[in-house]
Amino acid sequence: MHGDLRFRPATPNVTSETFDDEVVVVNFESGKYHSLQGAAVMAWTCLETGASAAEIEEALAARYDASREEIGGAVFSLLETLSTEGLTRPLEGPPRPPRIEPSTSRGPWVAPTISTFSDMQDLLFLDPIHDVDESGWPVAPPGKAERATP
Amino acid sequence: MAGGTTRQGRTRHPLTTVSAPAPLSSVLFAESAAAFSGREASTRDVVIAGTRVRFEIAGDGLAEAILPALAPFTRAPGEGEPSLRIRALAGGPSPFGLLPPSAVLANGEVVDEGTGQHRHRVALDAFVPALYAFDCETRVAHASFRSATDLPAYVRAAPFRAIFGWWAEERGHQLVHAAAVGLDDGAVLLGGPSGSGKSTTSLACALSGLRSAGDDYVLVSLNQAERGPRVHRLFNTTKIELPTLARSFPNLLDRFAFRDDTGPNPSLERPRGVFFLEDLRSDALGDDLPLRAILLPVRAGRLAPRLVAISSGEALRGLVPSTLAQLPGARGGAVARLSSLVRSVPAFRLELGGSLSDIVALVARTAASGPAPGPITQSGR
Repeated sequence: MHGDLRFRPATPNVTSETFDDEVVVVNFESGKYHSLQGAAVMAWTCLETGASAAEIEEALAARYDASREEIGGAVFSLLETLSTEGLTRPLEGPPRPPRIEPSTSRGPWVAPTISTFSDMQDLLFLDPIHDVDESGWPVAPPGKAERATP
Repeated sequence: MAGGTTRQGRTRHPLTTVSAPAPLSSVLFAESAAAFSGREASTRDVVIAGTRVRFEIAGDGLAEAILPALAPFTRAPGEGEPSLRIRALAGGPSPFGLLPPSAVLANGEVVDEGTGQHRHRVALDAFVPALYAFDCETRVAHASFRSATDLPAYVRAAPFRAIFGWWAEERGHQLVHAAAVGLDDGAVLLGGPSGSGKSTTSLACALSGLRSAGDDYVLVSLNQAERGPRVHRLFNTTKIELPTLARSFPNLLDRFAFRDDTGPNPSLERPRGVFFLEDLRSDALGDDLPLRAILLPVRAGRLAPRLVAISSGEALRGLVPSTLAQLPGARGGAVARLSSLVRSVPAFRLELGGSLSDIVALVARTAASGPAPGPITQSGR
């Protein structure tokens, strides 16, 4: 993943909410949702402005007491996972100004983590359209009915 | 990226690239309205979240099948324009034939071409079968059912859920998959997936003197800054799995109004009994209650229940999956409103254990006076 490439959240199919210690990211396309914690919170905040991998590393290095090698490896791995999960896409156009406040001191390194949950995927309404009978109403599926959303 | 839903195939992807002719939702709304026009309908009003909702119901047996879930709040039509009109028809022509094979659905909601807000919202439920349509400008909705006979229990227990979800969104509120119990001075939201102990806890509370603002779905208002978040009642029903009923509420085994055999996972046999709360306790129903905390029950097998403080992020993850799954087309706006909710009140994991009376006491105390300080609250403290 080239350090100069810029990425951003894959809106509108992806939405996120940021809390002090966690970012919850929902992917409506896959039906999965994710919890980003540790240094991944700051990394995601950088991505919201269209940051490059190099810029994310720079921001994390200013905030956390860790080697550049450790940070770089963690950022590479995180960006790869975010991309694989469909949560980010390459940025088209100029980046927005960064929102990270400069830190006066560095804290202990907390590696970025991303937890993925697929229980919503299993609940999302499936196959709501069936063939219709002569009355024009759908034919009910055979066997046990699936839970219908509306 | 996988293709959209077709009339022949299946897909597990909730939203695909848009390919439906536009505006299909407007065509379906107009068709529904035309089918209802001229029908003889019974009319009732219900006050929901402080405003009047009018139900105009036509078709044999439909009012009898649906209105009990909204009772005992129904009353004769009042003066003035209601904030929502729901026109429901059973036995009319099917609008399903208008759906092209290329129609795209997002968790049941018809997706029109193009970006931006569309005036109409439409959702399909092929199992019922039914079509729900809502006009965001006039706040008139149509619900078209093939028949009132053999309506699934989940429709009889919580009718027009899709419509309520859209209407709530228009008003800045949020329909949440959760129970809510408390009294006039405070309530708690009991959230989480089916099978977490939410309904058992909720029913035990309602039978023990707390009021219930809902067992499965409630409306939360978030835009009343000086009042804080409040929970509003939609339905009069509660559902309990029959084995749980036999174990925890054996005296209620022969008192449920009807049976629900369609559980969230069709591969599991989990029939449930559906009750009308007013039948169990005359003053069991609450409404417009101030929210003090969000509790996410988990079965912990403890000797006594306790509350463990959780982060807002964890609370959001507890509410999002089942709420979004219940609402056709729910997306970023719903997540944002749920996020606003979890930021506004503290949240806890309610680790279940001990007796039901222990659990009720802990929930009641939290609803009345808010959670005790500290990350963990044991029952009895």
